[in-house]
Order: sequence, then structure tokens, then C-alpha cells
Amino acid sequence: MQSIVEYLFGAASFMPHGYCLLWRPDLVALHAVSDALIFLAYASIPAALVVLVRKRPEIEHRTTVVLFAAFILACGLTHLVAVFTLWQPMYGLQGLVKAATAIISLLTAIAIWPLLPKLLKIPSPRALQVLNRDLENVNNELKHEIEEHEVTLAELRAMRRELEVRVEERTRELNVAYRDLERVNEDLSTFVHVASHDLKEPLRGIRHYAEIVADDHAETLTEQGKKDLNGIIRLADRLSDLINSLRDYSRAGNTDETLEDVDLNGVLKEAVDNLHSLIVDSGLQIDVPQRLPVIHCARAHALALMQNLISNAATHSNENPRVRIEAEDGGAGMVRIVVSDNGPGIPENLNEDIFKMFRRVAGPAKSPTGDRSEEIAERTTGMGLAIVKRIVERYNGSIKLLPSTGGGASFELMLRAI
Amino acid sequence: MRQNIIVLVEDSPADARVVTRAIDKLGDPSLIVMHFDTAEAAIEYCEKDAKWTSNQRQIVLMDLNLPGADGLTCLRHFKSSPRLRHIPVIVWTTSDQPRDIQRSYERGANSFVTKPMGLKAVSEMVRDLCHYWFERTTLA
Ligand SMILES: [Mg+2]
Repeated sequence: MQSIVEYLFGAASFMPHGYCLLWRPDLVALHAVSDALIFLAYASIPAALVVLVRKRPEIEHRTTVVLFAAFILACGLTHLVAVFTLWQPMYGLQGLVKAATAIISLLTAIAIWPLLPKLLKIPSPRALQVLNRDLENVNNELKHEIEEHEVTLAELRAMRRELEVRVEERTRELNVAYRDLERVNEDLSTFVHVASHDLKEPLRGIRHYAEIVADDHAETLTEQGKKDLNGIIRLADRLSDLINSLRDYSRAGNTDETLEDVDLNGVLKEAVDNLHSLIVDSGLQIDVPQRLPVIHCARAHALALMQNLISNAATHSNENPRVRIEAEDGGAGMVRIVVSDNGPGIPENLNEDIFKMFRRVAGPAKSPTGDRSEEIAERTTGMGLAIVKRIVERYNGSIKLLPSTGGGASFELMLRAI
Repeated sequence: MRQNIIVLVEDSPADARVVTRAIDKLGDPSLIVMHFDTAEAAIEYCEKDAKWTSNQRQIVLMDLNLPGADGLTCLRHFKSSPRLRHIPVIVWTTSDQPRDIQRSYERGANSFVTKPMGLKAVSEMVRDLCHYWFERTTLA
């Protein structure tokens, strides 16, 4: 124990370093002050390094920095010990401190070399500045672009809002127009219903009074008187037919009837029953080579369609009137129905007109039976094809006159199949 | 002697004339027409004034389109009156509207007939109705 203290602080055996300087006060002071200042400086540098490492956690190679701090501190300690050795011969301690300093210095020296390439790669602040400026430029450009995009986006949003408003407006307008149209349609069909009802009542009276006069005064009436009364009756019938056809035309556009799958074969039979007297009087022959299809519509409309097509053929045909009804697949979910008669046909220039209301094409040339065919022709109101067209179009179908192929008229109807 | 009474509710003089004439032409002395040109007059008579006896039977032939109370209102009255609801009511009208037909039967009409055009057709209709209701069926 005694020897370790002696070895370290060597109080008895050695002379302090001041002897070497012959205790010249200026030299001793120069050494002492210089070493002390070096120590202070070397102590403050690691402190600064430690503070730096603590406060900047992003700094890399922290161990090396700490090692560096320890190395400087150790160097500082050697200078501190040198101050003491001026007066105390603690050369053992001084040697140990130097040895420790040597070890730390060596470690630091070893650590620094592999680090060198990495440290060299760290860009200089100048380079960083340039890089930073470039980045800032890019950043600014991006910002500018984003701003532009935002402006475009805002414009697009505004446009979309405007479009939405416009669509809403248009929808509102359309709804109003549709409601108006519906109301007008409803008004019209109510009007036609009431008018046909109210017009027919006095008309029945006119006809019945004329008949009563003709019946009750048959003996006293002259032949001319009887003929004239007959004229009244016939005109009343004609007016009644016209009123009925107006009513039928109005009903042809009805959209509130129940739709069902309607077998046209059954409808044809019913139409023939309803038109019994016309068919007998005109001698109309009806050919239906194949079975007719089933279509989806209101039954009343299918019946009106069939009746009008048949009576059209019966009233526009020659001596031995015939009508042929054929059906086939029309493609695209449609059925194609062709109705042809053997009448005089329809002149090319009239093929648009015949579907208009109250259009009558000149009847067949006067036949030998004269009166009868005239009477039959008089039964047409010129509304038949207009009614057919209205019904067909009510179901988004179509009707057209086919080009004449040697006598007679052929109509092609396209109707939606079930 | 048995009497078959036809209560005719009809505002049109021409239609009333045709029906009355058709019944006259049938030459059946048991058929008697009582014509009213409003529903109110017909109800007033049938409810209060009529002194019907056991040998009298009645049917009502009623127009729908009438001034004042219309045919459907009149029909409802007839079918809810304890005194009158056993009497068959035949609606006869120019209308062939499904709605009118539906409503008439719903309110208890016993028949719905569309007025035919022509003297002959009306005469046949009247003859058939009288025959059916007074000869073929048994009335209460
Ligand atoms: Mg009336």
C-alpha cells in the first residue's frame, strides 16, 4: 500500500519538475499557466461535444464523437498532471494518465480511419445549400402546379354544380311539361267522352223521331217523303259513326288500361263477331294462313286494332273482298303482322295521308250492285287507320303501307311481342 | 187483373217516347209505363204516392245521366230503401264505359243495358226486358 502511493506520488525519491527549470519563476509560471490553460481548453471541448451530441440526436457516429471527447479530455488531464509535477514528483500517476491517454488516442485514431470515407461523403453545407435551393425550386414548382390543379378542380366543381342545377331545372321543366301534357290528354279524353255522350243523345232523338214519322205515317207519306226521312236516318247513323270513331280515337291513346297477354286469334274471332253485319253485307272473306301471335297490350286496344283493319278492308275492296292476315317474327322482340286486301290499292302520293284523321280514299269503282257498295263505303269514317296508327304507336310499334305488288293494299304492323 | 208496371226514369223526351211507344206497340194491356223525368220525382212517387197492390209488379228502367240527382244516386236510394229495394232496377244509358258498368252493379243494379240506336233495336230491347222480368222471372 505504502509502495503504491509512493509509486504514484513518489514524494521521497524524486525531485519535482521545477528543479529541471531551476525554479526560475518565469519558466515555472509559463509552464504552469500554459498547462493549466490547455487543461481548461481541453476540458471545455469535450463538454461542448457532449452537449452537441445530447442536443442533436440525429448526429451519426455518436460513439466516435464520445471517443473523441474522451481523447481530448485525457490529453487535458496529462496537462493538468504536468502542472502538479512542477512541484510534486507524481511521475507514476503522470505515466498512468499518459498511458490511458495513449490508449484512448489509439482507439480514436483507429476509429477515425474507417469513418473517414463516410465523413467525406457527407455533403458540404455549400453543396447542401445548392441542393436545398434546387429542392426549393422543385418544391415551388410543385406548389405552383398544385395551385393550378386546385384552380382547375374548383372550376370543374363549379361547372359540375352549374350542370347539376341545369339538369335539375331541365328535369323540372320536363316534369311540368309532362304533367301539362298528361292533363291536356286527360282533359281531351274527358272532353271526347262527355261530348260523344252528349252529342249522341240528341242524335238518337233525331233518328228515332224520323223513324217514328216514317213508321206511323207510312200510308200518307209520298215516296219522296219516305226517301227524305231515310236520308235523315242515314245521316244520323253516319254522324253516330263519326262520334264513335272520335271516341275510339281518344281511347286508342289511353294509357291507364290494364295490360295483359292478348291472344290475337281470340281477338280476331271477337272482331269478326262484332263486325258480323258488315262482313255479311260486303261478303268479305278473311284468310288467316297461320295462327296469330300473342301480344302484350290492353285487350280493348287489340280488339279495336283488329276491327279497324278488317272493316278497312271490307269497305275499300271490290266485288269479292278478301283480306289476308299474316304474322311472323319481326326480330328484336317484335312481331310483324301484314294485312293485305284485294281492293284498288292506295296511290303512292297518299301513303302518308291515309293515317290521318278523317281521311277517306275514293272507294271502289261503282259496281253493278251499285247502292249496296255505296252504302258500305258510306260506313267508313276515315278514322280507322288513324285509330290503328294511334294504338300501334301507343305501344311504341309502327305501321306503314308496303309498296304495292300488283293490286290491293298491304299494311305492315310491327308490334312488341310478349 | 195482373199489372206489370215499368217505372221509367228518363230525362230525354225522345228516349221516353221511343220506350213508351215500343211498349204500346207490344199491345199488352197488363204493361203500364210510369214516366218520370227526374230521379227525385220517381223516388217521391215510389216512396209516398204509389199505392201498389199485390197484383202489381214493378221494374225500374233508369237512365244514368239525369239532371239533379243522377242515376247512380237514385239507384243507391232504391237499393237502400226498405220499401223499394226488392224492385229490379235496370240501368239503361248511352254509356258503355267500364267505369259506369262497374259502379252500377256495385250499387246494386240488376241489369246494365246500353241504349241501342234505331227504333227496331229499342223495341226489341224493351220487348226482351219485359218478357224476361215479367214472364221468365218471379218477382217479389
Ligand atoms: Mg239522360
